[in-house]
Amino acid sequence: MKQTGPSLISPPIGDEAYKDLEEAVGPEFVTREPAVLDGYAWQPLWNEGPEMWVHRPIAVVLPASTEEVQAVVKICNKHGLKFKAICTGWGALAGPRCENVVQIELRRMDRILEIDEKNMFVVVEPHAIGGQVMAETMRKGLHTHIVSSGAASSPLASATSCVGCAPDGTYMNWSSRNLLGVEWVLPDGEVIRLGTLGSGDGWFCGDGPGPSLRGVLRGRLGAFGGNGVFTKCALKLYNWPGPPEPVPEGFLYDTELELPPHCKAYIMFFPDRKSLADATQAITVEGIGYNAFKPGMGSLLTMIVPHLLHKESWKKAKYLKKAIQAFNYQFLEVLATDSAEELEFQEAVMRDEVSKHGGFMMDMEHTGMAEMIFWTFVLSSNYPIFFKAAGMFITAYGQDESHHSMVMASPDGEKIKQKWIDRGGILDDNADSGIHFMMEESTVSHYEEPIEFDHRNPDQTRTIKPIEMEFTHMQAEHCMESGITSPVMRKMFGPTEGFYTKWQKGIGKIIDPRGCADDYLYNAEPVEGEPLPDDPAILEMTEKLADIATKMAWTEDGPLE
Amino acid sequence: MATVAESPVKKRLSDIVGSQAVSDKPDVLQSYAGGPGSAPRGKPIATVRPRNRNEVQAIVRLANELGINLVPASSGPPRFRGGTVPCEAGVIVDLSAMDRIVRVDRLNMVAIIEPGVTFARFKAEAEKQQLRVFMPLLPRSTKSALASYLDREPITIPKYHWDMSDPMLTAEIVFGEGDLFRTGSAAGPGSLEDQWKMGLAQKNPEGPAQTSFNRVVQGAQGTLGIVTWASVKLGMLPEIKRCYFAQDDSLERLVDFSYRVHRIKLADDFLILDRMALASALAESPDEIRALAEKQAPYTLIYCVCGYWHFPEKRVAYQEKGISGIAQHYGVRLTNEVPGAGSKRMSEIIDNPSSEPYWKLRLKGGVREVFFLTTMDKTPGFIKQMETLAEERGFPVGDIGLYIQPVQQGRNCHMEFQIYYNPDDEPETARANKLFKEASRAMAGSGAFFSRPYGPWADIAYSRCPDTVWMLKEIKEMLDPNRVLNRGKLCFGEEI
Repeated sequence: MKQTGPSLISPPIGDEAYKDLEEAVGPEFVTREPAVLDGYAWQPLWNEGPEMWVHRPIAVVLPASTEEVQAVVKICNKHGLKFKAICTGWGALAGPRCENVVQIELRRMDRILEIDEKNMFVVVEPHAIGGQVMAETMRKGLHTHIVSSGAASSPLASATSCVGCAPDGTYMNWSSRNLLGVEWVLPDGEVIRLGTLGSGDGWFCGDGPGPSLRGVLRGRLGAFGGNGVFTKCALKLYNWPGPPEPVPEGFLYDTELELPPHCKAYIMFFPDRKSLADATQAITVEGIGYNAFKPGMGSLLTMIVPHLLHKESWKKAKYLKKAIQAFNYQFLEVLATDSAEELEFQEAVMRDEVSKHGGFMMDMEHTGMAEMIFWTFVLSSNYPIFFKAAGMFITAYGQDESHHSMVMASPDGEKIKQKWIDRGGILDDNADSGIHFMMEESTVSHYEEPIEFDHRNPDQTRTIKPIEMEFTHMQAEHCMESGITSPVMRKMFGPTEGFYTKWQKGIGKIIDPRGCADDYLYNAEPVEGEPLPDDPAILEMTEKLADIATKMAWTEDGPLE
Repeated sequence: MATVAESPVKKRLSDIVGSQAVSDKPDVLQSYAGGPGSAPRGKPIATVRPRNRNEVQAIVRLANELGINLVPASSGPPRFRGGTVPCEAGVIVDLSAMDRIVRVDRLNMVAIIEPGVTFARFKAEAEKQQLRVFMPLLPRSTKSALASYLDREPITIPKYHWDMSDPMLTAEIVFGEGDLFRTGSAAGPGSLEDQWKMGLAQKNPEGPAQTSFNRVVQGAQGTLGIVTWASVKLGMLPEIKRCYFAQDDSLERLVDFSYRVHRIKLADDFLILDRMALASALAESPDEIRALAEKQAPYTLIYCVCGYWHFPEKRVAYQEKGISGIAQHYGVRLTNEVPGAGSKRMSEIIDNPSSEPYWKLRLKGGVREVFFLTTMDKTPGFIKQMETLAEERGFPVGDIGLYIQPVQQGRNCHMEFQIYYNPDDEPETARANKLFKEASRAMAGSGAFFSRPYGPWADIAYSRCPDTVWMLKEIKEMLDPNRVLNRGKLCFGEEI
């Protein structure tokens, strides 16, 4: 295992600042013990390259309240330190990305403060995880959207600070759109409460009076801790027609529990990609699906037969691979309805579209797998299994727009993947694990390409950066924004997206006048003179990216028409 | 009135848009002067009618150079709320000539519209492709669809109102110094045409990156930017649409019914009117309205059940059965007609802009509206508060209409009192204005959230959220540093 490099270790926190932190949260809830700090610096997931360490924080504090968060942030301002919040964490995105960072660990703020059953929202603290919220809201016949990082992740973090969606999106929307009232500790330590909450009128609306500050708080992406700490928020809840306390037996895909009344799981297969796009769009706009998505055959293989994918015989199994690819145009529908008649309607629509497009569909009850599929998706419990095949994965592309644009982009993603599979750079999952979710009954659709690799294998880890860069290039070619960005990428692609960095930096200056937040993933400038890695693949892609960014940059009059 | 006939302002504006698109004629200016709700402190000195975004940019840059106050307006008169009436002397940027429906995309159920497109035109165009425009209740015929969406006016179909920003998606904005920007997935890379070639449809409202300026300009009354087009969601045009009613003495019962129907996403259009508002929507003359109101129950819930492009009968049938079960559970009696309207007529009424005269003016010629956001369970309390205030101030309770529109899929609602008065009767006008002011203040104190703070509501709303005011002022400073956009509106005046 690679050791923490000296460049990632900041000078120790000063005694005075440390004492202030102890006074703010209590000495038992702050530490500068190196072994503990390294626990936060070891963030292999979503790290940018083979280096598995992010910057070691200079201290970790565990506040228990908004007031304590404020106090910690103000101490950072006073002593010229930076801060970054971590909640349930999703790898390197939540870890420090620069020197002198106090990591604000929010795990003590884990309460569900209110469930408003009538008005269908829940008020949560940061570390109330999805599973916890789900368990409590299901008792009241309600459910909450949980992103595809799974039930162990924080719904507050998803809605305020990160990005994500899930197969439940068609019924339960996506995170940024589910936000109501919010409590936000700004990087200078002041608190702002958005919408009705700011006026003392409760949690039920996050917008207004007048202009909505939700648009300042986040965009398609959150600021990943770069704009402060979110300490409470209200999230929309949705109807749950199933039992109040589902207690499945078994684990992940081996779950056993009866299907609730009027609930089903179906899988549909289509002859080609276009048919898949047409039919699933038509089905989803009719409001069908409690969970709905296009899984990848490759993803299924990684879950069901992970060892097979490492064998030499698999790599050579040309005809088997072709046969498997024939089933790639599939779509999974988990139906949870309130009546037999509604279920019948939903089934009829699916059957009609499948038939029109020359596909076929299977009622999963006929395969004995319906209960397992239904509960696995409803409880958002399947996602950790993606680690099973190779030990580590990233997802690429990660865009949201019209359904057809997402589905029809996937061949380009598969080509990129196949190239790197052929070079031995990533796990051979047959290059067809691309997934699509649809949100708000198809207002937008999502495309994401999982890429699995062994992070103990340097030959594989060194391919990740160039793969990500290829997908960034593909995004630009497809007129899609550049996604979660580093300072270099923001500088390169900001001009292709209306020079958005100008306005985003303006917001940063307003809320963080002393530059106290760790804003590497939000507004930070690239470090001048930093040498490029000497990897030829990275150098080649850097040139290609610079080229396409220049070609697509806006002028003062807007995009080139 | 001072004119700008030979002024450099008129000349410079004419250089941009042509002399025929600039006016300072008193009768033209008067049409922007506003109604009773507008409380104007400044007067329009000229109007300018740009035809495209380049002209808008040039006008904004000129305003920065000359220090002119620009007041964007898209809808035609009458103007009730004062959002487009200048607080300081200014030039009206009348966007009604920018009236292209740029695109109606059936596959993706989305359209791009310019500010001058009225609901009537938009609806006709969308219906050619079997698509449905989401509309507020009975908009006036001159109402700009884009202005309505920018103002977060509630639409009548809560089920498809997923978020407060709906149905607006992405937008093109000219900020206060003339910078052009596009929001959401429209930001790029690439032009609209490039994006269309890749199958994109300007559907993702979030972004670009870590901001969503579409939300920031919504509700801003033109103070932060001028929107030159927006993409908006469309729905499937129903193959079958049936309208039903539930009349009741008890609003509480209808509220309980409403919660359950929304929870399982059963109905499409869904709203509650009191007898006077319902009669005003159905009848045209004051006598007819009063006579019809007498025949109604105190509260009427109107909902529609729709079947779309697949098995419309099946869809309608399960929804009818589901709603019927809920009604039975709560003791709500459903009918397919009320005095003055059956299912078909009501459906036609709520699917269209208001006929003339505008429905809120039919009873007495004038109206003061008090509207805000709250939750459905709190609506009966606000009604009691209004009735008490009206009685104490000697204003006839029977001359107040009520409209409740669930939004955000029933999580909260737009609650609207319509205080009808005769504008030619000075004492009555004064009583209506007094009630309007006192009710607004009293209800804010009881938790009414004035999310769209027009005119005097700005002081009421912003005095309760100083942190929000601080941030909004900073954002204003960033986007419009020379304060050329609709000066004095919202919290951007001197007094807050």
